[in-house]
Amino acid sequence: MGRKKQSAGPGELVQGTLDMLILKTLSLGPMHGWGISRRIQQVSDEVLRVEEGSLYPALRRLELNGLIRAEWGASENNRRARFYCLSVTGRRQLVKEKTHWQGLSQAIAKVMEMT
Amino acid sequence: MNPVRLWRVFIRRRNDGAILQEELQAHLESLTREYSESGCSPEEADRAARRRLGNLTKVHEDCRENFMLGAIETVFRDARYALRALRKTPMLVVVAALSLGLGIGVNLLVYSLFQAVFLGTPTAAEPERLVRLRLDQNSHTAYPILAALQRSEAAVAITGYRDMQMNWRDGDRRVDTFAQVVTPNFFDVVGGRASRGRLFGPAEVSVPKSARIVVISYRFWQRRFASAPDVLSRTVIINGLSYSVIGVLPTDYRSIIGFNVVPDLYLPVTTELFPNVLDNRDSWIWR
Repeated sequence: MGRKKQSAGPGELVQGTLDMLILKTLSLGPMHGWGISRRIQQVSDEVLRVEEGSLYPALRRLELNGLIRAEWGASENNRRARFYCLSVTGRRQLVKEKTHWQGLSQAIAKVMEMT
Repeated sequence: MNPVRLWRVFIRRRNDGAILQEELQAHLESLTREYSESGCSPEEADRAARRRLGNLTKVHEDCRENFMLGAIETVFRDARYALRALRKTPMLVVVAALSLGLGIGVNLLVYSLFQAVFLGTPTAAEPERLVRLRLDQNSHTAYPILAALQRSEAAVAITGYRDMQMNWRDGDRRVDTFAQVVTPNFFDVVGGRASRGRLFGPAEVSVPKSARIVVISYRFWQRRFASAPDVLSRTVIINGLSYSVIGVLPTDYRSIIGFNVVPDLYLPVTTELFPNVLDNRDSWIWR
């Protein structure tokens, strides 16, 4: 956990949100690493760019913590690919993080909109 | 760390390098494809994809970090690395080990010599009160003079001893043994105790009376009698005469000779051993 730059530019993820984004993406169905990064980028209208350097370590972290499971499968172009899918614990964790995130972003929004 | 996680770490860590390699390769290909679909030339697409993916070694390292078990593992890895490095320079290791061993050995030797020669005190009741006497600059003194001194009722107790090479018959072999022939009061004056049996004293043996008894050293008992428990009922044949073993000295017995030398046998002086002991010039060191 190196020290991050002080200000996050556009597209740079707020610390700690990557795990949540991955869990959310996987809640829609099993996906491989490339797919996850693509999906997040597309859904966020190309604003959020998941760095590969943090995506794969994050996948390992989630897997070891039992939040996601990994299996080999065939990708769209029929290559062997490692598919990740949400575990039961992962699904529970996603709900928790989502609630937390919503509370946090509303609070920030309130502060930013005060007059 | 919870055991389930630990288990996952163990089953996953071995092959994660290869898995990641494959994942990153697929990722790179997908990126390249995406770049070329957006209108780049194949070379440009390849270069852009690699640039985007960044430092792969760093990604590998960051992933591996998840499989680490903390400080102990890091120490083990360092130790393994050190061993690998040492294996590349076997001569250096051998020389280093030899010189260390030699150094430690010499150090030990010097210290134990110093201990034996300068610091060691003989096994005695009051080692600090033992004094060696010399008459007329001679190292040895005739027994009658010693006996006269003993009789003179000087305020000190006086004992005498003489180192001798003696002949011990072991079956049909004859073995040279190192004996110390001592005046009957030797153990009374010097002190000490037996680890088995007893030591002799003036009550049971006096110079004219012959008592064929012997006290043996622990080492002698160990080496020549194989630590036989019934040693006290045995006899030994020394210079052709049989003596009963009455005692064994303790293993840590230190003789008055010093230098960690302990005679094999302690015999009381008798006229049988020295027929002329009472009047001739046999020499005695005494205290």
